[in-house]
Amino acid sequence: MRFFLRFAVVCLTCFAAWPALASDLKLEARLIWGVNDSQAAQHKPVAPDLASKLQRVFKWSNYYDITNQIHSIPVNESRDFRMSERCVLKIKNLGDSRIEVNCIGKGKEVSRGTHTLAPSQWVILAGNDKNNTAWFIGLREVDAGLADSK
Amino acid sequence: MSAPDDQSAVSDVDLVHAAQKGDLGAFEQLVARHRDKIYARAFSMMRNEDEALDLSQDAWVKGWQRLTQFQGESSFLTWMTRIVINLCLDQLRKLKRQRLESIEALEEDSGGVERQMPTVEVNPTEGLERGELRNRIDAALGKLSNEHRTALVLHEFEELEYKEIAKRMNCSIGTVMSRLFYARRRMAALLAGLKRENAE
Amino acid sequence: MNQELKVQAWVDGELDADQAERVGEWVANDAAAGALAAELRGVKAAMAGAELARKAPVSPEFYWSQVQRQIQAEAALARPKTSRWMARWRRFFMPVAGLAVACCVVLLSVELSAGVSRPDVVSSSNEGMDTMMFHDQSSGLTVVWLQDKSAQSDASSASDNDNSIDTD
Repeated sequence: MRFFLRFAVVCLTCFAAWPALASDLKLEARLIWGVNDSQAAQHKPVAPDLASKLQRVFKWSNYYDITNQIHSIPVNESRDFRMSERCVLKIKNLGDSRIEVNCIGKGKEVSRGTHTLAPSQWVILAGNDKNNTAWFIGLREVDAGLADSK
Repeated sequence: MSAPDDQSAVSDVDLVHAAQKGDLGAFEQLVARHRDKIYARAFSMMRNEDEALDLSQDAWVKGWQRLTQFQGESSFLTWMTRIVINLCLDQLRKLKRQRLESIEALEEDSGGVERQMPTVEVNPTEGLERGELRNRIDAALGKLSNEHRTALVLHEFEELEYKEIAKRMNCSIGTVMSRLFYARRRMAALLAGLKRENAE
Repeated sequence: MNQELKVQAWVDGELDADQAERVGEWVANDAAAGALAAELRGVKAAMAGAELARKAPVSPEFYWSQVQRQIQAEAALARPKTSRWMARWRRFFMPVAGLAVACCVVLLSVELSAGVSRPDVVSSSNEGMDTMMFHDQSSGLTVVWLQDKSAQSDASSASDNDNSIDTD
């Protein structure tokens, strides 16, 4: 009986500590603007590999980096990624490279989704913007060595 | 979105039958096969990428809704092309673009300028590869007005008779003939002009 | 019909037999008519099968996702209203169904193996917003497209789109 009790305590302790053993998720969120002309020339173009992926899927010819955020998110915790004055992403680390993304636009929930982050692959939230342009928010897991954004 | 099963070996007829029974995957395969041709026809008429994209997608939605009406009297692609053409014609009517009141535009309506153009020799195979000719014809089509381009596209690409074109364009056969005549004479002049530039 | 248009109709085979014979003779004997016929025939020959091939400027997956979304939206509008009989049965069975769903959720939430993969899901509680998700094989991107329904219904409202995120 004593052995059984000790075994049960050890198992329960392991289950309780299990989430703490999972590592933090380091996540990059990148706001990108898609345009067909030179109206965004003051911004930096996105990296060629990402630009070519976006060009393969969407109709806009040029893609520019607007903002970039990197945060570490412990398991079962959330972080806010403020992408612009109007848009905040509330992202929760569900563990196992899964995230819950709550997109808030102008104070209202726009979408809520759950995604698995595959290595080196992007999850893209996107929608139309003014003047036949489009916005994109790219999410991907990044190397733990990268520093968090302030 | 799940990838469709590999149905590349299945004929259009079989895919249409499956889609008529409600198989959206079969319809997706038809879209994948013919999407670019339908888009190309919409672009030939609208000369605008966004409009052509929207209208071609609308055509597929209409195609799905009317699929039970397709009895195989023509090929599926021909049937879909007719749908996208009708949508383009509706859109062109809605847009009612304002043209500059150029002398040409005024004389187009009165039917005068094309008779004053000297005839040109149009030899399509001389010195041009087929691909280059296609590019030049496309460039020349872009220089025509909506009405003239539409008449030309419906007659030369869609191979409709005057009567059918008149019905689609909601005008008289005489108007179709005038528009076609002007468009062809302008096309001849443009192609000859491009050829001269090439030779220089 | 003026003479030039008759030449065109003759080239296009739109004249009846008698008219075609008369115009044909005229074209053969009149230099100007002959030249005009040759020009019209030249343009016809140049344009035969010469429509430029074009690819739609978006990926196949995105193109289809837009079509599919519209088909589903139109189908939802066309769905007939349920009968009163069905509504009564629904009210009767809803509590039971709710309990059954809750039990299923609890059971499914117990993971038996770490290797179980769960699909991505996305939704919107915002009634003015449509969400659409797809995975593009060629680029490896998973895309969630957020469509403002009010902008969609007004084709000319691209500049008034409430979906903008302020990229200025």
